[in-house]
Amino acid sequence: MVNNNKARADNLHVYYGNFHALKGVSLPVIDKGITALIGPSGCGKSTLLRAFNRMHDLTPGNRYQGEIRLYPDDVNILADTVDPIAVRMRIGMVFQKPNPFPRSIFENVAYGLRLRGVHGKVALSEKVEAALQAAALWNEVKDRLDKPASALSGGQQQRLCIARCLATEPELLLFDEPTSALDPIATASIEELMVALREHYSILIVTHNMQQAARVSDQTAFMLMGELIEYSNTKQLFIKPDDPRTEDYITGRFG
Amino acid sequence: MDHTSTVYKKELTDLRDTLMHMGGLVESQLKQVKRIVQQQGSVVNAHIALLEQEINRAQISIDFQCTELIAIRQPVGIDLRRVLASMHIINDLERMGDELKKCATWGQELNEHAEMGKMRRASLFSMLEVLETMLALVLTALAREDAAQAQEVFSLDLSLDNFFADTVRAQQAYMNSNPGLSRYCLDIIFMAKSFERVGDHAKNIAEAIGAIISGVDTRHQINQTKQTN
Repeated sequence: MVNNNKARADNLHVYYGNFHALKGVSLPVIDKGITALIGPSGCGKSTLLRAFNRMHDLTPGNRYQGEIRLYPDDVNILADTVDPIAVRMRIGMVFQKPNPFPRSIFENVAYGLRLRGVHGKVALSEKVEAALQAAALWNEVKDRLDKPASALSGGQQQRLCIARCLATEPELLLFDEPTSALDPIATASIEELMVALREHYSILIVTHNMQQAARVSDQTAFMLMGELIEYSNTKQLFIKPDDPRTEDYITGRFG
Repeated sequence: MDHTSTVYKKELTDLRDTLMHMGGLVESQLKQVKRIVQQQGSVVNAHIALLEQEINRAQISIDFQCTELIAIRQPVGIDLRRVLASMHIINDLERMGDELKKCATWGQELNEHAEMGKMRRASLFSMLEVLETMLALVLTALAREDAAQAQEVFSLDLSLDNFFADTVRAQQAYMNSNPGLSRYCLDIIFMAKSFERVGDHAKNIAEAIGAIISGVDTRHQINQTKQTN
């Protein structure tokens, strides 16, 4: 059978100390497509997203149970034998609030490349330009690459963070509410960018904005209290979800 | 479960209420047509025309309510299905109103001629009775969002179709032997055809109710099955 998934969580549990945050979640992340995670605050969607990047390793007492398999090599990225840094080298992440480094625009994108051993000036310049092009930011910043990233607008900073991810050619992009700090125009440009990126990348996005999930994603997963309630084609989920809890949530009947 | 937004909830409740009100107007119209067929009143014609105008206004008003809900609330899931079904249903109710208004005119013509006695109208009575049941059924099903109840109109529609076929046959035979009364026979056939159309609209409403519940569009499925068989 052809595997159309880039990654897959299998019976994944995450514990924050004694708190059981994720309770046996199984979720495919489709290859070259956008998978959206929706659900109320505290449902575990960000916990799930961050597990894909082994971010819970950073806090003592957190532990995983179950697997997250990354394809095509079919490796369980949560295995003790797998280095979390190696995982993060393969997976890019964009956060809620744009978090550019306090450096120039160029350096923000070049940083990850240098870590990966790209040092030649020409090679760096080419890759930085390609990443900024892919993040639809090049035309706006090409004449001021040496200027501080902090001088950019919020939307531009977020696209810079996306460019920073893209520069290292990640296999999977994790977006944690990437537009919640942006105005509608900047949000639209990020959404436009996400739709363009899905041609080449697999994206897993957490969003509180259900209309955003409906607009950009191919597949949507609804989570509630640490469990995956429903996973289906986005159009289907927003027209006729299977589970009444999903229907209650998307229609605003959440009590 | 209740909607978190009370304003949104009220907008959806208002939509359902105005839709039911529009359905009630069509029911009133049907009652008036029945009175005409039963030769119980000559002034009801104007009343039916007024009802038809009110139905038209309700259609425009509900259409606008739906447009506003889509623009302001961007409904999804069951709310989206309700809004879309409402937009289908008002079109069917409006067409019912048109058909019944025409029936009032034909019925009035029929009443002008004493020879077109009760015997000739028997099938129209039968059709009207079936229609009344169908409309009541489908409006109750709409209020309750009961797809199973709505489905009951399908079998009633079959008997309506049979009554229609019987009426056409009977009037054709009568026209052959009484060519001078053809005009009135045609009125009866036109009315029967309109009743048959009203029945089809009731069936469409039943399908729309089904789509609210299941999210599945069942329109034209019966015809397609017939074609493939």
